[in-house]
Amino acid sequence: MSPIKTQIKHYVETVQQFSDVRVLVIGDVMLDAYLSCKAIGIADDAPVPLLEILDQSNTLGGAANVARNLAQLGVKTSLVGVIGKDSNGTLTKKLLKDSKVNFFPVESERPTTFKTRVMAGDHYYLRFDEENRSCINSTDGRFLTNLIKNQVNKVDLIVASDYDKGIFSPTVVSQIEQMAQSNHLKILADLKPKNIFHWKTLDLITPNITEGILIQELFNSGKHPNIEGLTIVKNLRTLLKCNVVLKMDRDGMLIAPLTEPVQHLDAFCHSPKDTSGAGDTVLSTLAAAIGQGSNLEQAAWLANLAASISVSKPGTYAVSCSELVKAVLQSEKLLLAD
Amino acid sequence: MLPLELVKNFKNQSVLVTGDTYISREIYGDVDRLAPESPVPVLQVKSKRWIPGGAANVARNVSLLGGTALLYGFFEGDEASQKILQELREEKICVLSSPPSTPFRLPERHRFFAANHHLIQIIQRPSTDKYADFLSPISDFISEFNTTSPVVVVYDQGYGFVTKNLLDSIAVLVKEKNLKLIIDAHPEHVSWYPKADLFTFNAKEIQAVATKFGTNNFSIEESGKLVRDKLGSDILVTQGSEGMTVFSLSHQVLRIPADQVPLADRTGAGESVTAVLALGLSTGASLESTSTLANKAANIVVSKPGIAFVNSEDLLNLFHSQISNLLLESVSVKQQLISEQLPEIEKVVTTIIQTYRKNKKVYAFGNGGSAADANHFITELVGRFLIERKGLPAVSFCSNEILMTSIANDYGYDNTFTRQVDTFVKPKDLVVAFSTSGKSKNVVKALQLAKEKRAVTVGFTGASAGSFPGICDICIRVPSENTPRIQESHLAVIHIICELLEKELT
Repeated sequence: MSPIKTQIKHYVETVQQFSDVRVLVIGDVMLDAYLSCKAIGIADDAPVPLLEILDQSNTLGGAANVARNLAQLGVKTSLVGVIGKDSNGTLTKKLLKDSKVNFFPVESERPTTFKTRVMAGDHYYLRFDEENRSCINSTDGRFLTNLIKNQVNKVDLIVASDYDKGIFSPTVVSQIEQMAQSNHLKILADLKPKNIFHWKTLDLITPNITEGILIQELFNSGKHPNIEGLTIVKNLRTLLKCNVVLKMDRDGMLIAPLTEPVQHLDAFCHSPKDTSGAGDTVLSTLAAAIGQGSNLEQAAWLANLAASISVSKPGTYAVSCSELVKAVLQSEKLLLAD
Repeated sequence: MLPLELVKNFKNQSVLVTGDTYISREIYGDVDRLAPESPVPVLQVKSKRWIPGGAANVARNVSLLGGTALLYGFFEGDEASQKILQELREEKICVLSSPPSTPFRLPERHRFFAANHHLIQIIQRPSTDKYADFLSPISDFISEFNTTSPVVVVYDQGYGFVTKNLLDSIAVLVKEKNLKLIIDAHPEHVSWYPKADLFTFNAKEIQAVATKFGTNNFSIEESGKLVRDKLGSDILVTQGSEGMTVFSLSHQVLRIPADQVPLADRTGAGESVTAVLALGLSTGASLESTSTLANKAANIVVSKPGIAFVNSEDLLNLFHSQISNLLLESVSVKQQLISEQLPEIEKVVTTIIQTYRKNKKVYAFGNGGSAADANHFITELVGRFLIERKGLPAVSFCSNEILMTSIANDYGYDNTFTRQVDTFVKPKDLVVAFSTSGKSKNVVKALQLAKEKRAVTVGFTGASAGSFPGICDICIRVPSENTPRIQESHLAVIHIICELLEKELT
């Protein structure tokens, strides 16, 4: 068997073993809505566009989308997050159940984070966000850490997905880190830059270029930040003392393992249709593969491949394990090019 | 009928409302960034509210205006319907609805605001267009509740509740019970409508209907007349900031301009107009006075943001505020008088003092309200004003109606005062003439003659002043074109003059 064939066989086996992996996702659960409308004229009581709703669809967003992606890859996925006691919360629970995610919600007094996009044909008119971005109260915080405590001894890995909606208070973060350490669990995180200082023992972060620059700025407070990918990724690794995968859109990704040289992966898909949700696909594939036992380099290669499938589909797309296997089998050419 | 009485009579009227009810949702927030996925504004929602619009809102307005509202509609099934039912019942509005056999959602209208800036509106059709299947006939409703409503309102927005069948059964009901019918009409359904006591359209709709009748590019006036004749009913067209126009079968076209009020938005104005029209017609008031009141109601509603209501107190307050506005207008004219006419008023005072010191006399005249001012002035001089003193010689030329009518009869009205000037006035006497326009012929002629006879001439007039400036030695010009405001200031000046000269001459 040629080395490439061996490699492909190894990747296929890795993906097939995703179903043995157990991941706990903690993060900001969101619900996204798309109002697909028809522009029918100008309103009769004000000089503003008048649209008529043709169709409404709801999808999971934020940490819920990361969990959906993991479950779609075959991973046994648990999710802990905050929703409201409202109809959007009920819908979120239903969608997560349909996606085979074990959801352990904190049902708070605040509303479920809800983002609605108003579209007419291809034209995007307006987004409106209903949410409470302040820090969750201490009761909800205690409830959240209790739910996490019940799950940490049943999983192989923790994924933190932070959209700055107020669940990762310094107290919650330090408790998560303690529980992860005592259970020997790695934490993979996709974080809003300003919250990065709450975390001390991350294993991997997956910022995009903009976030990478922001994190550098926060550390160097005032100094002119470097905007070149390779420098950023090395800086972040040094500053945060963890593995870094830097997502660079069309330029692929840079992988900076803590103890090995930085590597570059080209984007496989050169004419992406829709990049929304691709970051969640990358994070969940990395988590599945690392949970399975792959090293960072192999996990990133699979994540890059999964992202290429996701961006070739319209809307937020979750890649399935069989799709990923199929893509691996068709990747001989890509590996040859390497 | 006085508008005030009209509003008070609303109390005993009952109105049956039916038609499209929709949910009006208002979403308020801030926009301070663009979406990362595409450069469109992100509205961070701060507050939301929703209220029933359409037929339910007409019923609510009827109730708030003091009338009794009955609502025939379809309201059970969804969360929003339940809330509407509860609110309407709290306001003692009797509602008929029948439980749906399938889940149902009312039509919705979403309005998005960033600060006070209206961004966009989105409508959502109802989940069915077969309302009629759910409802028992309206005639059953009437017999079941055993209520007589002199006026039936059909509020048709084209959302599907108003069907040909519903209209047919309403037509029968109206005929049987001899009720009045008002239809807030939808252009698409014009061919379905029975004869009604009144149809209301907005400007866009009336032109759409005129087009349906085969005539393009008609003005609103032409469209209104055409639709009135085709439907054989009175028509009222609401025109937003232009007010409204009434096309009555029996009268001329009546234009009712909107008051200048700070505009928040027009949401809910149509429903308030319909409610006032229904109650007004129910009291038996004329279409003209009812429409005028409805226009006032619309003015109130548009000055409140979001979907707003009008209640009887608002309407009564409106009349109070009209009163205070008129008083303020009077005050403002007097304030201008201070800044413009103080030297002239002073001149009149000193001149009258000189006149009396030379033992000369004062004469005054004017027509109508100005005649009353002349008499008032003379009375204060011959009688007394504030302090005890001797009478000052002064004569009014308009206090003797026998003399006035005799001169008018024999020499013509233009000579009513000249004859008296010729008879009484001597050189250096003071002649005071009152005319708000400065154009009254008999007054002007008499002033001219007085001047020829070397008397001192003083004129009391308004801003335009007519021929007064040329023939008066001193001219008090009240800075207003409005006769009552001018006369109010004339009286104020008369009192000031009397007070000052009385002090000087005793």
